[in-house]
Amino acid sequence: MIVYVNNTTVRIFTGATALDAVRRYCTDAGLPLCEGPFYDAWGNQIATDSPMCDGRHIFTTSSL
Amino acid sequence: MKKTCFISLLALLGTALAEQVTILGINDMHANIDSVPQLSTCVKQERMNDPGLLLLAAGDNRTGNPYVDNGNRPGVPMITLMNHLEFDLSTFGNHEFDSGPAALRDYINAADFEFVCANVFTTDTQGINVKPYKIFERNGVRIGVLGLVQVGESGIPDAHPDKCAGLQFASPFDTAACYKHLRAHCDVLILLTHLGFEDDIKLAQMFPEADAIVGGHSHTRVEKGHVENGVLITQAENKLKYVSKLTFDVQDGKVISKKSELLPLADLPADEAAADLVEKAKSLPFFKRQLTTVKRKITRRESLGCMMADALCMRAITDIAIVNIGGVRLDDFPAGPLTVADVYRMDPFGNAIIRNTMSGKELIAMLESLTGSDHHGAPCVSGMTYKAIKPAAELKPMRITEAKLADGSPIDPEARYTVAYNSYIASTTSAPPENPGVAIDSDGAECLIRFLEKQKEVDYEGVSRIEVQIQD
Repeated sequence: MIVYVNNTTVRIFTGATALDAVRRYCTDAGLPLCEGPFYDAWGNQIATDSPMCDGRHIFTTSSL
Repeated sequence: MKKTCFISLLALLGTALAEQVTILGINDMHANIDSVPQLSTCVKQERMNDPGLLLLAAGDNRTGNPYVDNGNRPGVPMITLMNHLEFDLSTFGNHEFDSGPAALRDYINAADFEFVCANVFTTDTQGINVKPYKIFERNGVRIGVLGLVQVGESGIPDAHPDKCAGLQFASPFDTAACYKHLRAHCDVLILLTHLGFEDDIKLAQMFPEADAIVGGHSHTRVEKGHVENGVLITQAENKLKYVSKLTFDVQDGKVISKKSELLPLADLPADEAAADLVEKAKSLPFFKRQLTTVKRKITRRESLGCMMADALCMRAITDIAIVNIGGVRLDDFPAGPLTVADVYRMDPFGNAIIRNTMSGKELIAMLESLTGSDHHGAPCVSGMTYKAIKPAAELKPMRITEAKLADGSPIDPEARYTVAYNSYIASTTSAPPENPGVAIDSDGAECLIRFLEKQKEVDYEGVSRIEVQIQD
């Protein structure tokens, strides 16, 4: 499925969590692995095991 | 004059007096029974302020703790604890379906409270009868609660299709639209949902008749509630870190003000009675169960990794499986009994297992990349063998010089193979395959438990499927 981490497209397996998606994003970008906190598009913090779905946006810094 | 003043005073008093309604909302507890004693303390404190408060669960009460999930009545230990706390109502989360319809029926029947869910439909023979909503009355205030569960693109919640056999699900949005009439029958209308925060936003946009949404699924921490289209949306992250406290002032049958806050649970003292019940739940002999006997001491980590990879192959039904050597947390294992506890020592991570189809070329590239991210060494495999050359420096990809299937035939770069591996590999390999794959319904430890319990004896001593030459 396709999710968006920091507005960057990330292809990740179906059933992935926020942590899986962020790890994929960090690996693709050559960044150190980020373990949290993560936020949604409204600036709410989300748990690292938050289930991802197609098209979901998450951020590694608060969007507020 | 006196009569006029008296009537005016009465009228003023009538409009000034509002009833306060308190709702505690919890979501995605995921069987974190260790935090239930703190929740019990919180609920008791809040009930002292408002004995009529409603305690609601927005689903995914279970799944996340073998003490709750893996006994002969899956999920019921959590229900026992929820009964002790006198929960008023719960909806379904996707994980309520994890053990299939018969277990779900047992789980529902064990509860002293009801489950509500408007968008699930069952046959008469399944004995799973849940109402779409329930109306409570507290201090003369009618509080309606409508339940809704998320439905994925497959037409079922995010659960294994086999576990939803015989159950039908409708779109939560289409379903919600059919219940707007509840507004006329309630002073406070709550949507108790397991949709995820983003879908709660969409729901609020199409259902402004609701006063609030007590939500779940996305494990979102909504600090002070989010108001969307006049609807107060709440969610308390997960695993009993918080509970949402919603407060409504109701006057003349209408909510005149509402607010929400998160109450943290971690630092509260444990309620002793609840703690005793938790200890009772953890006295199940689950972890002591012997799965198999190890015939000879397994002296190498790679051999244990091969056993774990074989387990993935079996469970995911794939040609090949890969286990990162860093994911094997024991260096050796003695001859004798191997228990469930030993499995969790070997693989404590709870990583999801992915089933994928990829070309031989992609498979080789992914294998080669893993020594670039795992300083423990080369990955273990099932269904194949390989030889490789690796630079002496740490964290450099290796170069595979030979790769064969278990039958000795070479791996064809253009052929397609089914491969199982864990979510850590999927997320961190620098050579991900084109197709990202799909997680199966077991984690690594569960795969290993299922594999080992089928065998009276295992002998993995000396099993080696890789030859890695270190090159200076």
